[in-house]
Amino acid sequence: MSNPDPADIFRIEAAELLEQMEQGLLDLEHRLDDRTLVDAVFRALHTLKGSGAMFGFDQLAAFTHHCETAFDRVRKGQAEATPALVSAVLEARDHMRALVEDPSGDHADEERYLLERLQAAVSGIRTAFVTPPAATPAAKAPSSVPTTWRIKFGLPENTFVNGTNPLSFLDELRAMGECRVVLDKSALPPLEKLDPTALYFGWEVTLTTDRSRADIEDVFLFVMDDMTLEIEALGDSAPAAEALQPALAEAETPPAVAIAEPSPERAAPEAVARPSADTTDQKLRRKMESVRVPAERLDELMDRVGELVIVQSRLQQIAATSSDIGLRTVSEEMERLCSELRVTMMVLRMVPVATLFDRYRRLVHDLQRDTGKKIELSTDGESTEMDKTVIERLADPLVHLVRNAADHGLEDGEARRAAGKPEAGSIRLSARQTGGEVIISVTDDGRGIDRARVRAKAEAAGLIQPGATMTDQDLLQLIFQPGFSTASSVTNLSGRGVGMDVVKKAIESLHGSIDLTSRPGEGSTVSLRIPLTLAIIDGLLVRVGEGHYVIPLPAVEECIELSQEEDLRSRGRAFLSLRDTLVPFIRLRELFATGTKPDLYQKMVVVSTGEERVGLIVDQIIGHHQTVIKSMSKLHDDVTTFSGATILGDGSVALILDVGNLVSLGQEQEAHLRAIA
Amino acid sequence: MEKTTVVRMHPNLCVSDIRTSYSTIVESIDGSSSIQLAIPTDATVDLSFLQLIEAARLRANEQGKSLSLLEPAGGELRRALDRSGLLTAAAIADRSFWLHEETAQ
Repeated sequence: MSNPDPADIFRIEAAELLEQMEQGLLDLEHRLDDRTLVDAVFRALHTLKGSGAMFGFDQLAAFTHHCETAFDRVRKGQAEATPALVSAVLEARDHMRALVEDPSGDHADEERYLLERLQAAVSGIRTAFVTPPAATPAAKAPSSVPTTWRIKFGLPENTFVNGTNPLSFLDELRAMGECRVVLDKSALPPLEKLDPTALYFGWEVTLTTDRSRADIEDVFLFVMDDMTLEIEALGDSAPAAEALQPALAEAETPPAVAIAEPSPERAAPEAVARPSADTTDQKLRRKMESVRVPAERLDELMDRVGELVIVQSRLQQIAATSSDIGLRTVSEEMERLCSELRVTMMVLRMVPVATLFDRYRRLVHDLQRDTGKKIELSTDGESTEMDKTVIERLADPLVHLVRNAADHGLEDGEARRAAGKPEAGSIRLSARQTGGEVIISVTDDGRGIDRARVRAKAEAAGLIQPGATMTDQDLLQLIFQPGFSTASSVTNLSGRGVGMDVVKKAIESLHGSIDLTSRPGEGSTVSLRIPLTLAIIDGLLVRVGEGHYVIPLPAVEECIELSQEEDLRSRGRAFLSLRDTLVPFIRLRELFATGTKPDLYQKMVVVSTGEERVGLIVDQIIGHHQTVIKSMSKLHDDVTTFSGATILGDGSVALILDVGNLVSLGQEQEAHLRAIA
Repeated sequence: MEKTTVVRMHPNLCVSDIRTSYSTIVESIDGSSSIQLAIPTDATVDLSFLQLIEAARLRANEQGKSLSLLEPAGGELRRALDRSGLLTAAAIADRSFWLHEETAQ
């Protein structure tokens, strides 16, 4: 596996920093006095600047420096955080992203405009902008008596990759006073074990300065959690050059500050202090809780787990026909381990929906500016987790939906007041898990969809015959047709008729579906029903005729036996009474035209999609099956009854039933029978 | 006596391209018993390169090979040495390697 390009790693880091910055700014917009938020934004700017410079993104470093300067002044109480500043830095943040993506492009005009905005936003900061982006010593109040400090520090091995330049720390220390820097290369490994992008050097610095210990610690402010640092006062006014004797230093009293243990390979000098072993260990453990792994490696791992599950299934089948107790035991153990491995693998890929929802705060911020409408965004169910790949693929469809809600759904302030609504329109993003799927909804409290206009547009576009009879749901679904738009004018937000059909295609490509409800004058809700994952599911393996099929287990409510009497009684009908409730059912043998006779004791598997349910009549229930989902070929795009296929232990193929589609089919059948009754 | 191989280094001697430098130096040490590194005067240098050279010196010493700089450290390389503190308490051999200072007898 090739090592990643450090510049690419920086781009990933930069994307995270820009995200943190944006969230911080959006929060700050509502809590301008929150010092924690100011510090968070400052830290993100500072790290981005430093990392950018380290990896040759000079334009980015220089530009970010201006914003950092502005926020540093706010941090120091020399300027105020204002909506104008937040807005200017938000725009600047977008430019930073452009500089990360295109570091060598000509961005001069854009930068000039943004810097003017920034200058206008913060009064009295003009002179700061001409300062070049260079390391500046901390401007802290000096302590009265010069003190000589011995500072030993070691940085983590990934320091370079994270974009931190250790030399800048040394420069800052030198700027504080008389300083002697000695490099410690004792942890350097042999050439064959050297990772050239890792840092192995450590330092011992003797500094005579009138600055305080806190000032010295401030130099390491942004790496404090990951490094080892000892700061020890050697005495008043001892000349730095004379005081430094590395051998003597080893015998000095224990250091006052120790931040974290070095990694084993990166063993630092012996005198690392442990003021509180528990605290240090906890800190280290916390650091080890998170490891960055490229998504493609997770995909590879998932593929391997998938293949393992198939092999395990084969082993299980062989063991079932064997009388060898040892083989059976191994097979059962293997099944348990595979199941646990699969669950662990799935969890690895799961991320909370909050990571998705957070992106739309900025979108709504910009939509308010562009539409002139007041919009309040609220979210619900952010802790719901989904496969990372699914979440990434939902991002663009949701942009379309939020834009549509803001542009078409919400009325302007005047119209809202006239309708007796609060001036600020509401857009609500919510997520909830039901069975094997997650439902993500975008709800607005706007004017609702104008059915008459939808019909008129559809007729004009030739999508339906004039005066055609349609159900309300079918009429609403027309807005997902390509080229359909009810907007009377094209705006840069929506109204080009390219949004909703793209949304539909994107959701269908995820094996999901879209529900749309709308009440005139009250608003609309678009609900996206998305499978939790696209890789492996728990399934119920059934037989219909001679074919095997998998029903996604989370959708299964119960299984009941269909006696011959009940089977005969239900001929010509499509309902069965289940605990005094009529449940529509589908005979899969008939649906799939198997041409076989029914088994003596058929089974009904009751499945649901949350609110609706349907019974599926099968010949035999074989049992639980870990199902590795394989996509159907393009030739089968129009087959809606199946959502995919899987390989069974004996190498044969079983089709996976699309429960949502079958439930809809059952409901349609029910509606039809009720209509003719 | 084997001929000295002069290895001309790339001007980017920073972490962003350090793997290239690493490969160049490892191959050179493996392929020759006497190597001189030519560092471009306009090279950009950071700590990762200093680490690489220090590790390469250890390897060359262990294998009884000769590794030296074609020219004493100057420009950015010298600046990186000074900023890093690598020469502050350096042994005579270190100063001789980096700065071509005379070895005291």
